[in-house]
Amino acid sequence: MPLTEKVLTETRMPTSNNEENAPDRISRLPDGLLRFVMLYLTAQEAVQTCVLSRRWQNVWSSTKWLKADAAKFSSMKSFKKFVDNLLLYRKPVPLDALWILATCNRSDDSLDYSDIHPWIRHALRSNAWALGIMEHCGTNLLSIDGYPFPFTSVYLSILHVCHFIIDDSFVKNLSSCCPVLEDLELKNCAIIVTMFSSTTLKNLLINSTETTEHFPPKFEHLMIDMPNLVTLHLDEIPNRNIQLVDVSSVKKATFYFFELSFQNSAVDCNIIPALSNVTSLELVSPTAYEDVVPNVLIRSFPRCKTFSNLKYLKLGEWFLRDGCYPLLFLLRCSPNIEKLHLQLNKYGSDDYEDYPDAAAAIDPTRRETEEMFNCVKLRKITIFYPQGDERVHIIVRILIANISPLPAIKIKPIPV
Amino acid sequence: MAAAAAEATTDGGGKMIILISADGKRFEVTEAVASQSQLISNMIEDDCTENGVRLPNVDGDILTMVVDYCNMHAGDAAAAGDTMKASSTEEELKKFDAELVQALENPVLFKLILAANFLNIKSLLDMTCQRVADMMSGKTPEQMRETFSIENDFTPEEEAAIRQENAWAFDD
Repeated sequence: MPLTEKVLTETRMPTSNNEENAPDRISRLPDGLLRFVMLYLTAQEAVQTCVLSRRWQNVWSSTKWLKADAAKFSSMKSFKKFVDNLLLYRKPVPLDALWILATCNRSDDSLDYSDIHPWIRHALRSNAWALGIMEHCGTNLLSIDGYPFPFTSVYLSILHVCHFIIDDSFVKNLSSCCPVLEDLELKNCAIIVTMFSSTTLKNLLINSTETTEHFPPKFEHLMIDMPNLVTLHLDEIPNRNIQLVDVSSVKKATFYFFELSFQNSAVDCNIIPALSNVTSLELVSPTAYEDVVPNVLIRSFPRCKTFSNLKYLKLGEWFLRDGCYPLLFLLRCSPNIEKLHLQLNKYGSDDYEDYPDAAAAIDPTRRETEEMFNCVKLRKITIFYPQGDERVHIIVRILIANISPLPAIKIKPIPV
Repeated sequence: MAAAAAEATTDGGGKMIILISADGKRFEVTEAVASQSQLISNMIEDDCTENGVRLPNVDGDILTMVVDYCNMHAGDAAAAGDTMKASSTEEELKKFDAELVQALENPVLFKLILAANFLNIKSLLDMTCQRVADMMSGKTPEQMRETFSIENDFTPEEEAAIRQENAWAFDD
């Protein structure tokens, strides 16, 4: 760390007895270390240190890591004024990172994109390699429509945005204007993308806004082509049939499905077969008693090869279908699995009690018994279930009937 | 912990080196443990640890804490030394770190920050600086002064002027 070299000469422990006993040790830290401490403060707390004493007056102004958090401001207006001034009065030194958290506890106003645009440009002109619009509230999403693409930078490596409108032109520009972007999080966004490709991204997380009016009006494909991606996390993206093109480097994949994940049960989905090199895989859905998610996923099984690297598997409700067929199928394809988590939830538990043929849907007697198999390295199976959910017994029975020798099974109630 | 000779010895395959504090206390540690300090790691690469590593900026009591921390965090890096106890689990480490950092107060906290900075042990520097930030966070400037015994050397007029100039940061 260059910081360390810079301050080396200043770090000698004082020898005079007088100084040794002076109680104010923090003020004797070199500037570099004080700014290192400020990395863990909000920008407001950092700037306010200017009144502590002469020693502190200008330390904040060269910090390279700014976290502007609106939470404690009296209004969004005063927060905006704060960030405008923060960027105006800081010294013109390069920035490492700018994080904006634009949710205010004490007021309902919100920021528009026009408020944030100059901050993004300031950060990227200052060579920031990390930028985050981490929180944003309000009825309108942030839209870069009418602005030149703001995230253009040869330094930007980490970008986290929330509550933005993300369309095809947005992601196309990201790929061409951010040549070193590795880490992208799109949280609470309107995802109206159909094709997303990148050769630089290593980590991608997408989750959608929950406001129905911001959902895309009709189902389309969302193709993801990222040959260098290592972690992929897609969370309840409405009205998109996800197709994975090249994600062969992915090691850790997490998918949360829900009722708007696939247009209908005839959709051809390659998510599971495409993730053949993963070491960690999570496939979660809210209930086994609807037709779309389980059927779409099960229909892709014949195309699956062996998951020879898979060590950790977590499955949601859909694994229960047809006497836990998805669970048993995936275990058979995963010779090196070490840890298995099964997640039941309240929706599924309620559906099980309400639907007349719910028991039949997960009843193992419907399936012909296949040969038992063993998972040599599987040490522990943990089943998370809502208290009182009787399906746990069925699952345990199926595990006993199919896996030999049986690893430890732990059942853990989750708060309802 | 104190070794009789400054000469490097081998112990169960892990090469040992001697660290010498400002007040002359000696600590014998494996290279794997000491290498968590980027400074010492560079010295090991340059082959200049033969006669022990003198650390004139670090007192013995602080170096004791640093060595304990490094022993605890040596993990897989220490696998070379067969005599090392099994590497600590993540939970044990978290507990150890939490207890260490909670116990830190002025002035030991700041001595440890300077030592971590000098020895260039990033994880220890992160942890100790975060502890200072936690002690500052949520406090008014007056409360920060009190917490760290910072003497306010502004005249009341000067302080008022600075507050006025930076009124945008005070939201009042």
